[in-house]
Amino acid sequence: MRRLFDAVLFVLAGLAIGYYSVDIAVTRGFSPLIVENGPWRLWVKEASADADPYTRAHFASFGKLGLTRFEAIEFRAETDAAGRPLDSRCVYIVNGTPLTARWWNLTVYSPQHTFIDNRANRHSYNSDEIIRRADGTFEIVLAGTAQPGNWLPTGTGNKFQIVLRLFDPAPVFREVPGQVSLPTLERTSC
Amino acid sequence: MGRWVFWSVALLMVGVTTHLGVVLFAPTLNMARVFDRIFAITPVNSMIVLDDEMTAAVLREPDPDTAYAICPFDISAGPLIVALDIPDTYWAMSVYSYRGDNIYTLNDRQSGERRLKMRLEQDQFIPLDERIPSLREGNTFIVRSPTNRGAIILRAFVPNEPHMERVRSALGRSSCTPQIS
Repeated sequence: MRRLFDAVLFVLAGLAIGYYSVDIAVTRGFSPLIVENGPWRLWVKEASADADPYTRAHFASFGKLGLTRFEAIEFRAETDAAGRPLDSRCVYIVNGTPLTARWWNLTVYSPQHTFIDNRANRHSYNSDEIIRRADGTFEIVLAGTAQPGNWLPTGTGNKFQIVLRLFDPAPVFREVPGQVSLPTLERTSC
Repeated sequence: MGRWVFWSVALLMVGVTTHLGVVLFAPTLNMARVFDRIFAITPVNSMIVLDDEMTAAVLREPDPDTAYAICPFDISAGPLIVALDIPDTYWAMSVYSYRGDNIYTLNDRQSGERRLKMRLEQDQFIPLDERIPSLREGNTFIVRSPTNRGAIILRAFVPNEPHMERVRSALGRSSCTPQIS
């Protein structure tokens, strides 16, 4: 009986190690499979036919049919600039300079990759509709309650993530995504 | 001491095996589920424009500023002819294999024309590095898919909500049908 118990414990421990390491590697990714730029993370080979197994597993885990970086670049942030997880109970400011692409947008998603229901029925801002300053820079407020200006509702479900997509971007975004100028993401209150 | 080392290594081996098993096989199973869902709720070898409800049902993490049309394909019985009517906004067509790989993408600027035809055909016996299309035959370009099943997705930029119906209507002018031999 003792041996059986030890054997079960052994197998369970092995499975736990395997699944935990998969969760870390597939959910968070690691260099060089991902490129980091401030709080933004980019899976370099998203949707590509020559993607590595981890990239493939990451996007397959939520069933996404994505675009390769030759068509669109997709930066994702789950934390603010200080590395704290994004939380709908806090207010964040996204500040950016003009981004060189055919068009771009910033979208808020739940951790389950779905839109977050809100009365304003707003889930994103795109480069055509966003209100900019005279010099072309912009500011977007991420908050659970209504804010003046470009406000993106983050709901009340606590965690959320944002995705910055650049469609048909300038080559520099493909070549050195870790060095391009991307919007900052600062927590202002909580 | 030796016993502890043995069991530690054995434990690590179980962990590594589990890790590799999940990383290597889970994506195939997950993408198969994605395509099973797409094939269950949208007609095969036919282009349909997705409304909000269908977009949420068919696509994961959809873009709110994009209108979508999809043609789930099965080319096991023969090639598929895709007639593309390209709208006057950002537009992109992507061909996905059954593994979820984006094997071909074309956008409105690359197309150079407002109307194009694509023939999607099997590519089972061509080496991987030669699978990336495309070939041209007159006004028809040829894309070869490494899998018989998959999906073609059309995307078009919707700058704001009032444009949505116009853009969806434009996507609806594209079609996909099996080639008549």
